[in-house]
Amino acid sequence: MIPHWKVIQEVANRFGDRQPQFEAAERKLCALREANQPLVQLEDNPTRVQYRVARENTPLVATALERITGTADFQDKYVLDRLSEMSKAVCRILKGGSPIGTGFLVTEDILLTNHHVIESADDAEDMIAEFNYEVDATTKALKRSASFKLDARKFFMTSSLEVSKVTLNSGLDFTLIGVSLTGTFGELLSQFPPIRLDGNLGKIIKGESCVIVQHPNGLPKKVVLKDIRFFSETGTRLVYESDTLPGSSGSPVFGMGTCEIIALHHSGLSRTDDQNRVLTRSGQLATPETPDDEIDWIGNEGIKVSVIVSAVREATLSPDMEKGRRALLKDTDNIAPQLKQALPDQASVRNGVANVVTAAAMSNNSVSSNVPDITSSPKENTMDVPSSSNISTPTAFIISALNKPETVSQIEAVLSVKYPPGVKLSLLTPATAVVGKEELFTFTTNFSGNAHEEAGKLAQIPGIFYAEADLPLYLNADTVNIIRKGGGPAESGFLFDDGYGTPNEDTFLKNYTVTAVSKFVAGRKAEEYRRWNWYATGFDKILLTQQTPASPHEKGIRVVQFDTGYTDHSKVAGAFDTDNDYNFLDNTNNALDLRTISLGKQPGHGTRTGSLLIGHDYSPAAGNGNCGLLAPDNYKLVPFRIAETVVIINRQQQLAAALDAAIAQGFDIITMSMGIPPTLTTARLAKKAYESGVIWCCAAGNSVQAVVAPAVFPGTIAVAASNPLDREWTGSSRGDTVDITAPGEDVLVPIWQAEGDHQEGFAYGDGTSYATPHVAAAAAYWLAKYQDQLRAPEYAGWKRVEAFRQALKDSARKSDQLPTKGFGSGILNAEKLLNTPPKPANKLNNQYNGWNESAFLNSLQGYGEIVKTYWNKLHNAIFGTKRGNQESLTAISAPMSDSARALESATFGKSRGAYESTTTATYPDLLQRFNTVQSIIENAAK
Amino acid sequence: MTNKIFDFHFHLLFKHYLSNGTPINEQVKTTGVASLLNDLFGGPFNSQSSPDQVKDSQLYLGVASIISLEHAFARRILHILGIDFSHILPLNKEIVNKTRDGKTSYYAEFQQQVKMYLDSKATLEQAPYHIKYTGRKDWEGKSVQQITETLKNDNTQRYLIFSIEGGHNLSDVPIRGTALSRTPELNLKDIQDNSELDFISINLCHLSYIPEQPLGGFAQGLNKQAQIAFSSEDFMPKAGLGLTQLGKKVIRQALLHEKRPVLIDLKHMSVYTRFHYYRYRESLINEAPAVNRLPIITSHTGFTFTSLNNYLAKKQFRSTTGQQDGVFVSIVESENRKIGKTNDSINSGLYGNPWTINLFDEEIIEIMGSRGMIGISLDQRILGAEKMVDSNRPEYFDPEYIAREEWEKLFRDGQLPGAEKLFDFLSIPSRAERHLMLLCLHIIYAVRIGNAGIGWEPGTSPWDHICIGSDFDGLINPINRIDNVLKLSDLAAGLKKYLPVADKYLNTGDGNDTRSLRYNTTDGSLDMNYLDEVIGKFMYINGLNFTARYLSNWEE
Repeated sequence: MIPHWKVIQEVANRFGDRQPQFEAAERKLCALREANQPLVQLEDNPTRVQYRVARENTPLVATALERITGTADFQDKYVLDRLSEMSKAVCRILKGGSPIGTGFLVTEDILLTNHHVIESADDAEDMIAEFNYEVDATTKALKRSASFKLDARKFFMTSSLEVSKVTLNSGLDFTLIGVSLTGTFGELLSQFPPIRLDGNLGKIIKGESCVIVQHPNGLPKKVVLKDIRFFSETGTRLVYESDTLPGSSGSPVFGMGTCEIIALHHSGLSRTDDQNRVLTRSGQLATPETPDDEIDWIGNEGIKVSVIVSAVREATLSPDMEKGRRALLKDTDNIAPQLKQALPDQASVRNGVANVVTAAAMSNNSVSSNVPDITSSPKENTMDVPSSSNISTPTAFIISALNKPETVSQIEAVLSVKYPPGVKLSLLTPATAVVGKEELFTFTTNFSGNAHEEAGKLAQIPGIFYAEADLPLYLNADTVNIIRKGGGPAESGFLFDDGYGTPNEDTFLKNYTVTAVSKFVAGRKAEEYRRWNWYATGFDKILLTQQTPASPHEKGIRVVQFDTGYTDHSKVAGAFDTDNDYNFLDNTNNALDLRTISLGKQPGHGTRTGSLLIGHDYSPAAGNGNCGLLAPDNYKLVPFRIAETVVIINRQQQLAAALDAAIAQGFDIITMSMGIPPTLTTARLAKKAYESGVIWCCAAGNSVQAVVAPAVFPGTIAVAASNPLDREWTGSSRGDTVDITAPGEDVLVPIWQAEGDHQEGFAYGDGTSYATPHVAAAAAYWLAKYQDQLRAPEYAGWKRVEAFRQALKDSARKSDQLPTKGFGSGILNAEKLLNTPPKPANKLNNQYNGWNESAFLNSLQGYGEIVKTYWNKLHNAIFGTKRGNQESLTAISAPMSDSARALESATFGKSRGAYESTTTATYPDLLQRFNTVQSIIENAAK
Repeated sequence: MTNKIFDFHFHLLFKHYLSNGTPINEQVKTTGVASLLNDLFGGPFNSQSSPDQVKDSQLYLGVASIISLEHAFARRILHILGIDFSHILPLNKEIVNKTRDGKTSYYAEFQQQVKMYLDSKATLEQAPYHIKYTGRKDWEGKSVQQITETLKNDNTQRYLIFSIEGGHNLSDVPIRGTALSRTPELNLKDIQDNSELDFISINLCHLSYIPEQPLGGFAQGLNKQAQIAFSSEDFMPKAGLGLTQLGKKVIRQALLHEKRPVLIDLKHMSVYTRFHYYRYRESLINEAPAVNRLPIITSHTGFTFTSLNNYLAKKQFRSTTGQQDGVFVSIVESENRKIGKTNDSINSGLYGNPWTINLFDEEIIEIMGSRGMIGISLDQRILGAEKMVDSNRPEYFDPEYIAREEWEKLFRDGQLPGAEKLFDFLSIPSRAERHLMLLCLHIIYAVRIGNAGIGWEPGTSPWDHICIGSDFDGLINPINRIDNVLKLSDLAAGLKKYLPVADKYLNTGDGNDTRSLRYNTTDGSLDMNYLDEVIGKFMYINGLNFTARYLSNWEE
């Protein structure tokens, strides 16, 4: 156990410099109290307020704010119940029989306390946790307590009192340790329910009250019932008013408003002199002997739960402790998506707060002009390292470098000097990486600042060729909101952003039999026009006649789908191969699409695109039609789940892992109806796939005009979309890199109906997402038919892909209706394709011959940040359209770095101002800029 | 003629193929420094089963395995303490270099070796060798009984059948290039349809990772010395889980061929892949019931002396994970399993090799239940021998690499290890005797597990499903005194001496000490006739019957 004085001194050392900041906040708190002003004004972190509002579980921001800022004198009674329940988890910790601090259960059998209470596993040898050490309500006598041994073998993790630059997440002064399940007299630990650790934001905002449950000086359990406010903070600490005594170290601090634990109580925060020495109330230097009540306290400080949770997440633990880690992280991970879902938009929160403040001012008839300003909040998770620059949130970077042990260790050494030590590189595609070749690696480090800019700096480190930050990107995948030509975002009219849709056959028939006449629709029976896409691509001549094509199933041609996974929609039930599926989001072998219904999620994308390949002929759902193109072959499609929603890809690493597995498993064809902007990672993956000989069919993209990645790269097959009139789908991306066009507008796909209890149904939908599977199916039949030729070694690797591309182009149906440029060689003609044998291998050209990869990547290194920022803004506009007047997603675009802004000015001139704020840019303007930058990058390669 | 021997797995001409022009009527021998190295490594470089040796041996029936040299071996041949010793080996540099540089494919190399066998066919059939290649088409229309009689009674010819060691032999793309081998199953089909040589089996995997054609997870099989000598990371499994799509295509092709199905040899598959294979085989049986007649085999294995269930539930291993040169690695150390004890006070322990390349109990039962065959390896390391002085091992055996996904799935979550009981031995054994004893413990163990796990019909027993799988000339370190094929005939006498001891003293602490041999009810003495019978089965008869079934295309 570390002496109390040392802890106070350490806190003073570490935070003495920030005393003015704490005092300003303290003054502001006093001023607001005096002026009877809403204390919510103390909070300067709008995101935290946003999350706090989300936790109130009401869609009405005003109501939520009213509850949060309402006078503290009234609390709902359940607050008492919850606090009472949670206080059961609090225990005192005894060493050799003497009380040394407080602790509390945070999982069924892991306890949290301070490091200065339990320093090491050895230290805990003779310690016990005593629960129920409290006074009985009726008898006023002590209750019968229950004592449990601590068990460091079960779980142990600690973070020292002092911060160390060489140890990740040090200086957080906490210890997590296992507890025996059975007490000294056979009591069960399970009678003390744990307090859940929720590492997410918004459990409390400044100005709200907190409650500490504790064993001060080892006394029976106490609660402080005074008005205690949270008023200031550092990166790792919350600072609040409170009465605590030394034995309270290790107590839980609860936010009164949410009844969630917000911090691990740690120490008093004293006033200090200019050398960070602790002062007494009389202004003298305090000594170890100075009684606590003579020290001049600013307040108390506790370690943020969010910081502890992220330290647990990042810790290197032995495999035995993984179970413990999972238990510790469970609640944080479960709560995060719920919170995101409930997140109100910033503007309404801002307005709400303003209303509350105005209302209070009116009723007080006073102004808050003498309320002092305080400095802004530090970032969550910022480590409080004394007198050095901030180190911040874990950020993942992807770099390309030679895959040689010497290079890897050399780069690791440099990175470990640049960042907190211990940086380790991981191959992005370990199964297919070649020693001695340039490969992609990833590493994660704590870092603050602009990650894109940092990536630029990384690329200057010897050994690193290129680098990019692996940050979330919007996915370009579906058609909930599409951009009509030249216009802004508009709903497609068949699918809503929550994934439900409405049958729209009437509109379809009107469009193609009355407004215009499609030969694939007009005068045909329902079963025919519902699969108009078969007639448009010649699949009818292969699959609806007596002749049977060579069977991909029997020839062992394997197709894998990169998408959101599979569902049990009756159209596809049983047709996905659930023996070989994989979920790359959580590394499990189940690619089930959970159909998590929430704003902007659009579940079932994989079901819709998959149905075009393996959808059964018959489904009981109303409006059934359009059987999958591989369904007559009894084909099973392997789903790889690479995205939870069609909206955001969190990490390109997950896409890389999927590609690595697809190649190593020996899949022949990948169908991918999703895209992102060109990135270093997708560029490399496309080339890897090409060289291995896997045919990667990719959607050209929707609504953004420019062809998205990976379709934009030479190694993939890029598919644009047409409609029943053989015309372009206006939303389709187009460009030189498009290889082929296939039906993508008004294609019949399975949905769940928006009305009633969401019965299964069908609707006509739009997207290059739907065009892509047509080409994948054609590839499967073609590979099956020409397997004997293609198996020859001279068709190995990229030549296999090229042979297919060539046949695809040679057999394409030219349509006068399609624009002459940007749609590849025309519309897919599967019948003719099957009669087009592979060109001799020596006549095939490697598509990368005309593509200067390094010039491309150099250009991307420079423009990457702008591309990604524009991309996210564009898609924010596309996806952010309201249904129920809510903004759909959290803001994920960080401010652009100075260098990117400079580049932007150089490219577009300064007159239009920074594109930082979408509000100043119209959608078409942004779109034009995005396309300009993308064409600069693409042209660099040519 | 009595005392004939069957060997389920050896290499007849592999060293000749790799050597620098050694004629097939000579043995490949090292001299000078290389000879010292040969001794240091336990004799892997000198011939152990060349035609010149076979002709003088008791080997009358055997499976010669054909294998192309893997890139992992060719990358850097034999560096010791940083010095390149490759030049002192009598190696054909051309083969090594083109393998290293990706100027050839494994399939092309395989075909070259097949050609070498075919070119040598006439010579080998003549005196003094009398080695005759055979396959199913030589025996069409004959019953198992007839084939057995012919093979058994022909005291002139030595019959040789063939297997393919490693699915990599089917890869027709440049070695370790970026292009993936896409249709290995079609190459196998060509072999089945057209090859002059008929193959009884194929190993899906071998000792190294083949990135251009991953068929399934392999188990680490090379020891530290060899890893350092060849310096290739490909020997250590790092990624992958079970059979791949490509692997399934190969298995499907192998088992579904009507005229010449090829059995899948479990050896070298990782434990997860093996269990994946049992499951996949069941699904193929559902699709094509004829697959059911095709037995599960392993041609040259050892045992872990535990069940997978216990191994995982009692967590009889520990593991560490980390990042190494940019790759996630998982390393497992299995508990050393003392399976016997001797009275030699210095060198009292006998241990199995708990590496997961060796079979678990459930697998012994799976194989026997399929009327399959277990070839027990004569590689001392596979059987568990490790050091000169081996009385006291640490708690855990040498670390082995496990592919990340496999580790996560199979090894990550487990519980506390169980206890081990020790037992005594009678005499002080020599090193050679210790090795023999290890072999006997393996044999007895397989029979014991088989007896416990299967209800046997009269006239059948676990003794029918085990045989020799020497792996001679597979760069192995043979058990002492059984250094080559000539010495195999001494084995029967060794078994006669040590099988009864092993039967008495094998104790793996699982409470199963049912005897595997027979004892006279009157006085409890050993039934010597039965002992002779089972030794005969192990040495020859089982292999004979199994070969006859193969040659009849698995007639039931």
